[in-house]
Amino acid sequence: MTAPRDVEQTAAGAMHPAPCIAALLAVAGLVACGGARAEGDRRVIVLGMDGLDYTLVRELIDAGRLPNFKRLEQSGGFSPLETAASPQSPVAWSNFITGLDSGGHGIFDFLHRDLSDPLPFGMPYQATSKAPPRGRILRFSGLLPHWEESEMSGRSLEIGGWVLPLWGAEGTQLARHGTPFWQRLEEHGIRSSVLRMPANYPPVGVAQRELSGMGTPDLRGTSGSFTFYSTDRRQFLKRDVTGGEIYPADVVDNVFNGTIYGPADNPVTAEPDDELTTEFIVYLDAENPAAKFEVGSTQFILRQGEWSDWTAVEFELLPWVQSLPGMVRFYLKSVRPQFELYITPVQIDPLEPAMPISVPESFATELARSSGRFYTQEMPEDTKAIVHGVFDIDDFLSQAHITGQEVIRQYRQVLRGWNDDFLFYYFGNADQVSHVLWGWTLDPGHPAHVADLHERYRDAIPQIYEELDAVIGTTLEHIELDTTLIVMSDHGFTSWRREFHLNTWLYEHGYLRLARGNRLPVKEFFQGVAWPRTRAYGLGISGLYLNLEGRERNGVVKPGERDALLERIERELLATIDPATGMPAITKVYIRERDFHDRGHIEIGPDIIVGYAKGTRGSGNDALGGIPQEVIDDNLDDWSGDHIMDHRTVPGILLSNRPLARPATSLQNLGAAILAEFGIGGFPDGSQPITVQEN
Amino acid sequence: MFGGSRIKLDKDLLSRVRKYARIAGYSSVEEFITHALEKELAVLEDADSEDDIRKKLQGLGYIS
Amino acid sequence: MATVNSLLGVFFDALLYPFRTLHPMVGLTFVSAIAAVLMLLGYKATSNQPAVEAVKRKIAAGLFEIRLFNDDVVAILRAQRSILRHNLTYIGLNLVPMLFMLVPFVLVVAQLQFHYGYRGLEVGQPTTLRVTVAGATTGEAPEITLEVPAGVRVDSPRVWIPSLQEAAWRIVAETPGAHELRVTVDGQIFTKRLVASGRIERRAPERLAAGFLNQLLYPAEPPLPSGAAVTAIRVDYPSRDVGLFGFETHWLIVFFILSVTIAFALKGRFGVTI
Repeated sequence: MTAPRDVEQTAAGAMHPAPCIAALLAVAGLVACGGARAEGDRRVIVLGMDGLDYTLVRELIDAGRLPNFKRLEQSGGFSPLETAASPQSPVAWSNFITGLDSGGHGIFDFLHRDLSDPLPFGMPYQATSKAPPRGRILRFSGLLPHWEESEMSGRSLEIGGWVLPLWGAEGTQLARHGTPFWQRLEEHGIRSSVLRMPANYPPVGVAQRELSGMGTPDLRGTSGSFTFYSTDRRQFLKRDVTGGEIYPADVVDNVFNGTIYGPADNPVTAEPDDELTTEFIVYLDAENPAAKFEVGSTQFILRQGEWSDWTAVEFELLPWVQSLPGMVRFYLKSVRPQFELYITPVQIDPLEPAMPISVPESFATELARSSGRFYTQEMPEDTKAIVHGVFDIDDFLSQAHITGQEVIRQYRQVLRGWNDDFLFYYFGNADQVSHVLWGWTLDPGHPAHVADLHERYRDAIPQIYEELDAVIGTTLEHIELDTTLIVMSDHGFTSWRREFHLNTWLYEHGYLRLARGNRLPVKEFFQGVAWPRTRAYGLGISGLYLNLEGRERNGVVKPGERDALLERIERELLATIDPATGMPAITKVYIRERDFHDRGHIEIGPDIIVGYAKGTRGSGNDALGGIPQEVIDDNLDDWSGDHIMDHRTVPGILLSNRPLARPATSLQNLGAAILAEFGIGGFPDGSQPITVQEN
Repeated sequence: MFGGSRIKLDKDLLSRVRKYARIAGYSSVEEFITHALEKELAVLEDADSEDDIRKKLQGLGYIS
Repeated sequence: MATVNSLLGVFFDALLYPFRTLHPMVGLTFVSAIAAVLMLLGYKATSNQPAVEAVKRKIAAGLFEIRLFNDDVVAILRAQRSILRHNLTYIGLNLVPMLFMLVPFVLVVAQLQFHYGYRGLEVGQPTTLRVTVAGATTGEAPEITLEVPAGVRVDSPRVWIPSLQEAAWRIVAETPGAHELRVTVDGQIFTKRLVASGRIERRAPERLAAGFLNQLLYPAEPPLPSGAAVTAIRVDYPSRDVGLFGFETHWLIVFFILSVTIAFALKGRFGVTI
């Protein structure tokens, strides 16, 4: 079970020709919907490998460990690829998708702030998608009906404690703007499949087939919330963790009754905070380190240290009538002396998607039938579990291995059935594993570097690069002479040694003030900040916003003072020296109107984006309005590698199996280069400002 | 004022409050201020709680 | 009962043998056609055909009357009352053939369930073997051993669950085919068949103690002896849906739709009034 096989995975089976044919035709999915492909027509495959670093790829090629990367270098070239400012995946991939900078596509950071929110700074939300607007609900007071504001989008009716949707309900909306390059392809009759593209949830739906990737939530609507049960009460002391929930486990007579938590609110009941849950039972053997699980109608056995297959779970919305399907994997970390059980975030089950994760909607199901169920949540490697000590390194690597292999298995199946003209497929495993391991396995100067761990795990990241090399090998074997293969990454990687607390810096420089009686540290959400006396605040990974009059709810900076204030802050930021290194902590400051050239959605962005020096990054605590005491300190977190720095220091990679018809140098002009392979021009490439106008 | 709790208001603000409380038909300054506070609180209380936001976003490894 | 099941098992194995490597729809269509013909013949033999014909004529006459006298409310009401009464008669006339056909129908459906209701285990695919032992709960694990033939691997230690009186193992077929597992409890030996194959063939997820209902519903393997130390042996097979016009659905729905459609299509040829 450690190399899990999915029961559903065998559905197509080798034995039934008809479903098998159907699977190969419709399922593996990449069958031409219109007409046959002519011999000699150009075809293009782009493999997006998140976070592959130019320098490390170079070293590994030279060491002879990446033979297929080397083949590409020799036949088409290998070069650094300029990443986005700021080099965060949603921003970088949006540059690639649209050929625009952040001013055009409107994605500046992992997090933006919602100025319609009543709080002074605007609540942060994940930048690439936006929840639907609140709706109105018809309620009855006695016999009189009246409309009230409701969290459910559209119009709904409350009757007898139940909420019934009436009309106008909307789903989550994609917040990225601009035209994706594959829309141009389709307009020219180039049939495209775009799988796991980041910043494309919900899928924009202009390609023949799309599967969403980064930006896709779990079933609770979060970026991933694990559940961890432990009889060790010390674990429970850490219960206030992010990215998951830790619960005390009571094992009675070797039986554990557990709960899986679904969405925090049942949308069809009027009762607030009516959390959806489902139960399961674990029977522990009194002697052997193994247990039997009963989850709904599914039963299976796990030994200590094993992962289960994907297991379907259901959350009852309306008894006997409607339920919400999801799926989880169980990891039996320990049976005794302590019973410890990890459960993955509840995934949208691709066999029964509760939310739109593909276009057509059946595509995700077809993929799951042909090559097995898969993580649908964005960035599924559970970095939070290791950061909070729920996983040790081996636990984390075993989970990351599962996620990586699922994707590779699915890609191979997709490649086998590919009969379109264009295919994009994304691999995110290297990025997430690098975030955890890079600093203390590859950088002896990292503050959390431990010599013996370094020895033991220093090959973990290179091994993932080798797995991706094998993916390139498989692709090269499969493709024909007329196919262009492009391998690219959105940014590079480096060790994250020093943590910069932007809000503390703003506090120390007098731009951010605390109300009387408050003092540092502030845990989160700017509690205690005196907004009428605050001129600037940091929110998101590298965003700095002015508290601007007429824009922020309690804005105090006059619009006429804005430019001068931004320039002053820029000067002071660039003059900040890290006392530990004696070097500048910030090497680049991006002022919104000056450094972003495209227009249309520039207003959503921070006034300043901070480009930290290589090795320094904005603190994750500041991202949600925390204000610790120190401006800069050592990063002792298990998240030891990063790339959100001065974008010039962390380029991505570009390789191809032939010289491209139109060379690409940056993410922003790579889309135009792909179109040029098909002889199509006129796509934005950063050479002249574009103003995006919505229909 | 307000059941014994005293709140200091700027003189100018207080005179504006008096004027508009009268114009808007409130029976007293207290009633006007109570209504205004209730209205503002309702907006704040109806917003997504910080806890909800934290849960939604903090699964992102980039945020601690 | 065991003999009947045994004979039926052999019969259905032989009947479906040619279809074992084909898509389930092929064999299901064939079986549905045979079932339709047998239902027609059974219905003809056990129903009062002249009475059925007469009552159907009366219902048709009532409908005709409604159409003819659609401006006469009293006539319409009278006709509706007549149609209702004759419908009840029609249902009554159908009760007898339904009763005759009920038992064979259940037997046939039970047999088909074990051919079409479950997917075979693939080589390397784990499943759970569960053995329920008889006797009072003492908390102590009984003397129980599992022997597997070559081609099957026991993939986990035994998990003993006192509250369920159940011992469970994870097992994996390493070679395709039918394998016989041997469970020994207190010196008594019990066997259970494990099928690792993608073909359409008989699979029994449960082997239960003797009993009319158990035998009726779980006929695919002989019952466990009465009073034995084991009351149930179970192997989890994944359930199978059958694709029909792009929808995945339970085989019984497909069987029902096909057999009824074919029966209506052939009733004239067999001179049956339904």
